[in-house]
Amino acid sequence: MSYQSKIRISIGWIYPIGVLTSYIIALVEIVIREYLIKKGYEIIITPYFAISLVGLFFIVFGVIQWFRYKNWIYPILGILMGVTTFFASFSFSGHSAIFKAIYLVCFIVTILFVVINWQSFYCHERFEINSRRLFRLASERICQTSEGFTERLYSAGKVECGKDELLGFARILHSYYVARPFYYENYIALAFSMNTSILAIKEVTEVSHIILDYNGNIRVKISEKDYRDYKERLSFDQLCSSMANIFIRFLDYYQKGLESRIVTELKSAK
Amino acid sequence: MDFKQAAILGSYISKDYAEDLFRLLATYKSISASEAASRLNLHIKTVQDFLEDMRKLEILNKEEVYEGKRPYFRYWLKVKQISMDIDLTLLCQDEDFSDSRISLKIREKKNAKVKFTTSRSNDYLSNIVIWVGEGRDRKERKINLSIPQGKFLFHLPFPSADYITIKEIMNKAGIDVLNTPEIVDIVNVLVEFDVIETNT
Repeated sequence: MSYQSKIRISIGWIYPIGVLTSYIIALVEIVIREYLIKKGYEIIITPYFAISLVGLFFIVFGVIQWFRYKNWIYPILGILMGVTTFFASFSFSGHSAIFKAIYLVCFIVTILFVVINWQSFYCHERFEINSRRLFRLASERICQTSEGFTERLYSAGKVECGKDELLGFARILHSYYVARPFYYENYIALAFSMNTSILAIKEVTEVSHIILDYNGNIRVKISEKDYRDYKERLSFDQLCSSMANIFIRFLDYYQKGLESRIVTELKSAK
Repeated sequence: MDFKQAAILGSYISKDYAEDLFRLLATYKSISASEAASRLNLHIKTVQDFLEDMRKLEILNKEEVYEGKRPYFRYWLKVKQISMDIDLTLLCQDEDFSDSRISLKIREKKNAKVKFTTSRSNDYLSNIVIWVGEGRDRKERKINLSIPQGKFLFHLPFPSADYITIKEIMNKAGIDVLNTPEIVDIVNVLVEFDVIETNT
């Protein structure tokens, strides 16, 4: 049995990999610079190239995240971090005080931006992590790879549940950052996504979602973007059915007053 | 009168000259195509086709006559009234819906190049957009669905799911048996457009 995930790794993993790589590049650059200084070249030891590379990495990665998550806070943060990093190289001794001042301003603005938008960053991360857990749970027992993606909603049957219970259930899932509810006249839609930021969407149809109507009917929609994030083309109907069963189970936990099991089960997803 | 006969009659009756020709036929004891054509200043072929098709519809009678020259036909009215009576129930493809057609196993085809639009209530499909052709010749064909058809297609098995009979899908979707003809009709259309595949 393999513990390898069926889902591609999150784009967020590129951050530590990128930063680690840039440290290595910086060390190599420092060694080269030391060697050249010993040889008599008049250069300073600051690794400008590596620092500029990190700055560029933050900007490019911010733009990539913008395309992926459709959330404007990422490119802004990327640009702020990139510019701050770039000016960091001039904050060392031997440069004009104005560069140091610019660096300080950029640094403060970046910190302020993160503090002001902390809620958005935090909620997005939590929603994405739990969405990944949901998709992992849904695919746990699926082995067939017959693909079969379709844009249609999957009708997953009916549950015994009143309107008030459904509203309470939606609130619980929202408070646990499992799914974001959208309230309509006759139904509630619970949005979740491994890709698009569900904080940035206007319509639930933009991402994967579960529809629970007030008659107890359950319908599932898995977006193509989320489906393509699986390494294998899993049987789509089984995936939708499995996803619906997870929500039915969560609803059952809620009805029995065992809400804490929702998070426990999500965390158990491998 | 079947639909095709009614269509022929309807198309002739709608002609500008139809009333004048019928007036001649009602006035004259019998008339030839050349006589009628010259009288109404029409092309003889036009009149000939009209009279011959009316004879085929059993509105006119004809007789071959010989008057020293080559034989020709004379036409006269067989009926005094024309009534168009079409039984529309015959248009319903009322095959053996109870067994053969609705026991057909179907599911959505993979990569069907189709866009489904769900109703506002999210419990049936309101229309399907199918792209036909390739490249510059690609055309969009939109099919608006009736509510039973929309409910039926909403419950159509996914491309990776097992095939299910039309009857089972209808039961699942809660569709009345009376809607069977329109369900079979949309299934036939979508099979033709490669949106639905059958288990043969």
